[in-house]
Amino acid sequence: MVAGYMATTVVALSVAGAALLAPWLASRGSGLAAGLYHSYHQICHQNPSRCFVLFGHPVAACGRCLGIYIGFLAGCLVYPLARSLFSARVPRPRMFVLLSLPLGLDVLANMLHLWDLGNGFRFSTGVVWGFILPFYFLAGLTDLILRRLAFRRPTT
Amino acid sequence: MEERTAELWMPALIAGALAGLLASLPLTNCCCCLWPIGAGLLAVFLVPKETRAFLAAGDGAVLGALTGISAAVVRGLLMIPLQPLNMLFLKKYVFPLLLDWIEQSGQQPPSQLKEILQGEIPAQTVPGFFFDLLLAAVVFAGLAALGGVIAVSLTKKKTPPSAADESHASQNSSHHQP
Repeated sequence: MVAGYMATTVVALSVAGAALLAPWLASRGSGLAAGLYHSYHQICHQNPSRCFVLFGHPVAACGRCLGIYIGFLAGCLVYPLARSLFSARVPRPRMFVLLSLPLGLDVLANMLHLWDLGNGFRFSTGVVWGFILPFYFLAGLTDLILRRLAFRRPTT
Repeated sequence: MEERTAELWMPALIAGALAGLLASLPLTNCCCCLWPIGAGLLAVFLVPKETRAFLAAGDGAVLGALTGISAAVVRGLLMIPLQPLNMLFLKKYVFPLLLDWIEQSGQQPPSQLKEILQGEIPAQTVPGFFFDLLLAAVVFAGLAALGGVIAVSLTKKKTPPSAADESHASQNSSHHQP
């Protein structure tokens, strides 16, 4: 369980870090930047007007996606303080709905052209939503690992 | 568990195919991580009610991961014939807006963007296709697994202690024994 938690946190750190690393690499003319931008393109539209700009280049993920990655990382770091690493308990549905509401409303309002509160707001809604996601991901992972261990344990 | 895993294949394939289709079509493919997460959620809801009641968080993760992989495969295959259509859409509607925005913000547009607008569409190589497929499978599996766990938690009215929790509880109680 500790290994699963550590691996998830390292992946979350890498995903958030690499998104911020891409513009720095691009500013130095590194060929790695193109690979990073291409990798993030699988799950992000990368519209430059929706991305933060660092070192004169857009971040590899849009403001909202970057917020989700950083929120996920923050959730991973807080997780051991809020839950046992051996528990597969997930948050209550109302908590998920509550934390998803800002992001859902902002996405809907952006699509319907009701408001556009900028990348800072998109980033914030992403952070809020991303924060709760590790509480599901790690619970699922823990459940799988513990059941695999229980399956392997010889019955007496 | 093995019997249940077999029952999970069909919802995973259906939800994965739908997500793969939506993730490859012009316009709908800009919805980022929504489709794999949504596919994970949908797959759990497609599982028959009597089986769904017994799903634990780990089952949701497995179902979601299977859904994500099938979504990535469907998307990868559909992208081959749809790539020209996507490029046409991007060239006509999206890239000119991007070029304007980049030039207005005083930056130098990437050379690739100019090449594409001038008609030089970079062709995808076979290793590139498989790299993209592998990357998408990993990313989609992770996101859809998340969707699967979320759906399992949402479909349960009152979460009973899962097998994992029971196992942990029994581990703890055995620690206290002399």
